[in-house]
Amino acid sequence: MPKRPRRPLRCRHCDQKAVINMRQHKLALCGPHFVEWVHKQTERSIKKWRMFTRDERVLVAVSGGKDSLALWDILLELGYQADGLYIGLGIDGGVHYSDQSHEYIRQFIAQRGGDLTLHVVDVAEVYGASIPQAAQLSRRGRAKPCSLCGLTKRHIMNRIAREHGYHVLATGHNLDDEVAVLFGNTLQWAVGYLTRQGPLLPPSHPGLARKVKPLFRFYEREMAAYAIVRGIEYVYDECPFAEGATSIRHKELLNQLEAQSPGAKLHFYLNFLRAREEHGLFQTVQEQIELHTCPTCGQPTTNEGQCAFCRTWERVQERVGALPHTPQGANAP
Amino acid sequence: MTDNNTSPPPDNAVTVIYRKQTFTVRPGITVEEAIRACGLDPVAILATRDGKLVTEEVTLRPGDTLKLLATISGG
Ligand code: SF4
Ligand SMILES: [Zn+2]
Ligand SMILES: [Zn+2]
Repeated sequence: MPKRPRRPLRCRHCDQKAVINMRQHKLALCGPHFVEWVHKQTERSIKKWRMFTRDERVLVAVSGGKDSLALWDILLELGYQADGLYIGLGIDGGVHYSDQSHEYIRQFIAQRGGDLTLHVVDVAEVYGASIPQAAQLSRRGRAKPCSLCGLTKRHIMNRIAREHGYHVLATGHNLDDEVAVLFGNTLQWAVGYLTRQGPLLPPSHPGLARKVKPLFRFYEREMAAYAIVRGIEYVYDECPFAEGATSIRHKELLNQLEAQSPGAKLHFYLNFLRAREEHGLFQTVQEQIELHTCPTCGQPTTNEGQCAFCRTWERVQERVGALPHTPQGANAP
Repeated sequence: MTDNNTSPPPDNAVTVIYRKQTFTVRPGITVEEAIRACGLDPVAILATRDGKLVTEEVTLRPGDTLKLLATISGG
């Protein structure tokens, strides 16, 4: 005999049907109240961590994924001065990953009347090779281009922020991203990273923007829900190089923990921050790190002489002539 | 539950779509049960019916189509 249907979950605030149930907060909300809740929580994070004010200009790194588009949407809705930066990586991987990503961003802007500023940096156009090509040409990341990709994205974000006078650089990292990184760093006791990881990174060098992660308290699932409720279309296909990434395995493990004790991910992260901010964990390490200035690009580097970005891309540009004429990103899996 | 790539589902069944796979489950079970029937864990999944999000305790009706969305991403 079929079971009698259960009464659907209701929104805590208005008794409408809930669209999401957040076990870690014991909170079920309808669409409009969920959007309101996300906005309020974001505003609270921005204020609590003194990320930025409404007088400051914020550059949002948008990839076409749910988190970064949601972030841009939230900041605009909250009335912040937020512009976008899209970095074209030239990754195809059989799904036209980069083209698709750019298209979703264009669509997002068009939906908002087209009146938004988006800076576009096409890596192949500016530096002479796409990310997959550069990875092949440099010694860095022969197998996977991720380390070169991360290095390049960081450099470009810093450069654009500086050239256009942005005070703040915002990325869409959510709690699952942050916890996966924290978990990985803890497994390695990577003290240098554990010292710096957090929702706010003050500029390590004159002329650099402050780095912030206003979505750091939201679960990935909540950001996907936000995008759906707000009608934001985003690139669903992963970057083909993300497949099998350690961070994904860590996220799966952490979700197993979360399934058994709701809130486990949130508390792991928040308690880490508290241990550092309030109890001085890793504080002595912080004072020991000394940074140098890259003579070529002026960005900070941990070693004296050229930074890793400049060294790597110089090598790529020397070898670029030897590149076989393949379509962009054809070497992707 | 059957993997339904070969024969069309009966009219009163529930269709569950996850990535490129289609499953058939019986009506009367909850969204959560449907997610588990596909071998997934609700902790990282969102479900939509007719383009709208549905919570896990919602009971599926005959003829419903449920779309599942994995929310783990990497990179
Ligand atoms: S997964 Fe793709 S986008 Fe992410 S770092 Fe690797 S190559 Fe770059
Ligand atoms: Zn409500
Ligand atoms: Zn440099």
